[in-house]
Amino acid sequence: MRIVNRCLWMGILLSLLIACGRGEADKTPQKQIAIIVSTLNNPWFVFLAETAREEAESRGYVARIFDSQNNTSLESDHFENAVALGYDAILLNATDSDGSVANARKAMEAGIPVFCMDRELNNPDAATSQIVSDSYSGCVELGGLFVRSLEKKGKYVELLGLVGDNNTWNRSKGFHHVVDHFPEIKMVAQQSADFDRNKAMEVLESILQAHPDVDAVFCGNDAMAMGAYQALVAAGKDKQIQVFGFDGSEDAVSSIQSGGLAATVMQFPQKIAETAVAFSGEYFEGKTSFPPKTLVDVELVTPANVSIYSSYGKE
Amino acid sequence: MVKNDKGIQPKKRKALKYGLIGLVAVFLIYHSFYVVSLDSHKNDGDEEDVAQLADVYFLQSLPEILANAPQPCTLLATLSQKDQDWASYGKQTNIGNRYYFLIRGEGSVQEIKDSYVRVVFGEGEQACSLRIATVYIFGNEIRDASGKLALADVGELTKFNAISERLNKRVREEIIPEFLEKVQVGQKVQLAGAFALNRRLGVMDDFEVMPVQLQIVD
Repeated sequence: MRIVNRCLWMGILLSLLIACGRGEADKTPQKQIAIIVSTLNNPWFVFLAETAREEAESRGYVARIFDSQNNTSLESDHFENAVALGYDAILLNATDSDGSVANARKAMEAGIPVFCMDRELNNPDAATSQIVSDSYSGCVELGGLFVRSLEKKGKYVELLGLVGDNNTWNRSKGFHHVVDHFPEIKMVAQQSADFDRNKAMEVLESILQAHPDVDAVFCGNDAMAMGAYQALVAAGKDKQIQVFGFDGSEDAVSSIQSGGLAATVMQFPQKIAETAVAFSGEYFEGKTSFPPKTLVDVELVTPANVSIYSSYGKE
Repeated sequence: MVKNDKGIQPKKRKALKYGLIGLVAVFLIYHSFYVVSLDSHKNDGDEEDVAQLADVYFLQSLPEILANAPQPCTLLATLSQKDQDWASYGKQTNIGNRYYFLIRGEGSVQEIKDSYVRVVFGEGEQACSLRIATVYIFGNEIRDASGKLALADVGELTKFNAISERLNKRVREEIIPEFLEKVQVGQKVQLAGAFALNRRLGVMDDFEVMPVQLQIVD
């Protein structure tokens, strides 16, 4: 009996020891990812940030979103906090292609990898890797459609995004690379509306005073395209003037379906976010070498094919 | 009138003094700066680099791959099959659905339109017709369809895009005008070119082939 009791006690002690050991293993801290996003005032960036967080959490990481409110100084504070709080990786959607370089460097110098999402940094050494939409090529394709829609002749307005953002210029350059080749298509005004819907509406209203006879408006994103379209509806010119956007936002896709916008270029923020989180995971597992830049395809959305697309390229 | 010991009026002397100071200041400022746009320097180097990369690619790497490119109708029939793995026949540059393909073949001109020439390849049930672009030659088809030029090899994205621009320009300016000058419906043509398809959309009827080599054979 005594032997049986001893064996039982030994068994209980052994079980306790194993349980304690397992407890130690469970205490291994979860990897933390900071998602620093340029603004949460634009649904596209909300989708990008939320998708990145969901993807990170599904992989067992802790993720938190920081809103930079399009302010590089505030972004700098977020980086300082992320470094101080010991985050293991930062997914950055930068406020400014040049201005954000110093912020990203702070983290890199502290040994924290930075994976850029959608917005490029002008210094490739400032980030571990940059995952961006192929905006230039998308706007080359859009430019071709634009020229065909105008039958190689007409006047147009271009609304640019934030002048400090590379996407603004990549889109504009791609578009002009095609459109400028056709001499009978004239740009009568080019102005920044900061990727902002209300600003685009005001800017276009003002431009239409001086140029009431334009045939089309090319906008660097869908928020501006929707603002421009709103201005045209108010002026009773939405049937004569075609509006082209970029992003594939929910309201732009709906507008194309209902005969509003002429076209947009669909980006795939889900693919960008998933790739950025996947790269973070590979980094945690020891990988140190990443491609400096990874491009994600964009696709032209027109009334002819809009039925197969969901907003933000959700799949 | 008060004059100084050199016989110059004080007002004139003051004007002369400030004039001289101004001249010296302008001279010094002019020679203190040497303003040259950084972009112009950068572009000089980049342009030469881009030109060299594009020319080597167009004249050496691409023709080698094109020599073994499939016949248009065979490739299209394969790509149209359900669940076909496009990666076995085409190249991808980015994450996404776009694939680039090369083709090579001889066909006859069916129609000449404003922005393309339609060419029929093959015969009977195996025949297929393709639009050969003559105006909208601006995309990445020629650069990316061979898989021989990658962003990682080139480095900067602007340079990578500039290579596409240069390749397309070359085709628009050197190949298309000569071809359009002579082409007539019914003529036989030899084509080697590149095109892009979106996996999501499948094989569409209206895609255009970007010609790399285009000759009338009769």
